[in-house]
Amino acid sequence: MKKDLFVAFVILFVVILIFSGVEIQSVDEYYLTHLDDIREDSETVFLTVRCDEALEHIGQMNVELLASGLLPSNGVILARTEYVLREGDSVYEILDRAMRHNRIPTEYVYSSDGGVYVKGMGHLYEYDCGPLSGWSFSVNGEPAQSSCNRLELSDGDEIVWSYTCSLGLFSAQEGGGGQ
Amino acid sequence: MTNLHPLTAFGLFFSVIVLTMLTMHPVLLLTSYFSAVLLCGVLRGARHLLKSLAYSIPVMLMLTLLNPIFVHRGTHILFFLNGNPVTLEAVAYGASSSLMLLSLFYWFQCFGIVITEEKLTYLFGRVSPRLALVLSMSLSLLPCLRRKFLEIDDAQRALGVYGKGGYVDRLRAKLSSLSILLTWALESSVERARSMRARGYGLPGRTAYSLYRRTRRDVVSGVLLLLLFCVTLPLLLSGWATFSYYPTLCSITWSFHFWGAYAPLCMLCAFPLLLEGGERFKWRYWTSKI
Repeated sequence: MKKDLFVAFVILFVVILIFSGVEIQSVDEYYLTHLDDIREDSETVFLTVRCDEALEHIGQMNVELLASGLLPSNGVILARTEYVLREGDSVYEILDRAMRHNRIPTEYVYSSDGGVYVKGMGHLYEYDCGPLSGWSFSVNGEPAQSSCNRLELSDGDEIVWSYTCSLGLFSAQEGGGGQ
Repeated sequence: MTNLHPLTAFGLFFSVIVLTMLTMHPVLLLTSYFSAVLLCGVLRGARHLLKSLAYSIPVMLMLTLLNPIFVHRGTHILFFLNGNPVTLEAVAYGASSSLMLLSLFYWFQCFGIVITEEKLTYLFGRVSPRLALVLSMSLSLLPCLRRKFLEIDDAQRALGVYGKGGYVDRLRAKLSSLSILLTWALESSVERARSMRARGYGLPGRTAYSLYRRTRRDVVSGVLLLLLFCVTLPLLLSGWATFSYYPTLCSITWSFHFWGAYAPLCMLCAFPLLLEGGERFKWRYWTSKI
């Protein structure tokens, strides 16, 4: 009987562990974000999210996505907007805050080495436009050389996320390692 | 059903199973699922069916909920789980794939009842004796192991080896039965292979006695099945009845194209039920005349 009690406790422990690791949020709770007001002395960056290249290669596009009509016809997922740069913010934090505020569904992949990879934004996912397609970003016109959560920003930086249909820039987002 | 010619019966199950695997359309899957469940109930009895539903429905629910954990695509977000959206689309896709899996499960269960080991060896014995033996052995593996396990378990209990203590002791006793079962399975497979070789199985020029006669009903229904299969397969492959789940669920269109692919599949699924029902009706009718 003692053994049984022990087993029961172990099971209870595991169940509690699982439930404590689960966090359920409603849609409104998740998207609730606070954007700092832009003051004269605040540091800011500009963020743009576009998918022009996907529209140029519409022939390769995922048929189901094309039929759903969710793809913006002008290629703008998020128009150029100014956001306040908080202490220690990377491209990832800025993007996450902006996407939550604008309620644009974004899926991240957190890799084991601590990097963050953007799998899809605004229903447009990697591989949706051919086998070499995916999201990549540039800061001040420079294609990214590291993961988006490792890139520190400074005042006035221009971040552009764009969808590519050819591997070049896409692999850069993964830190150059994912050929 | 069970007195159908093996070739016709095999063709029926083959076509239904292949077509079920090729579609993700919820209506087609539901049709396949319900006809498989019904046929299983008719062949194995309502009690057995209820028993198997009691565990297959929870499995279905579990599989349904598994998909949204891994897939986060979709426009209708239900809630966020650890920062990841759980979407209606992912749940629907999970439901459809679990429906496909379970309808295959039930079709294969019917397959196992109708096409016995004898019939399998009859079907494949001449083409490839090895394949026939491997097929019949692997298909009967699980039921056979289960039967043997219960036997070993009973013997262990009778010997008094069984743990009388709590849950852990009982589990340990089951594990020892399981290890006996494994030893037995290895030994019996070697024995079976040797005994088949000793009988000269698979040697050229060896004939086999079989009791199956091809009646007119078998030929007619066989041709009909082949025709239905040959119509449905290219239609499904060319996308006459497609359904897209991501990024938004599309609505079911009851168009000409849909019916073109759905109607033959429907007939294929209903075929064994009608056959079995007809046989039962005839049986009832003639026994009532006695």
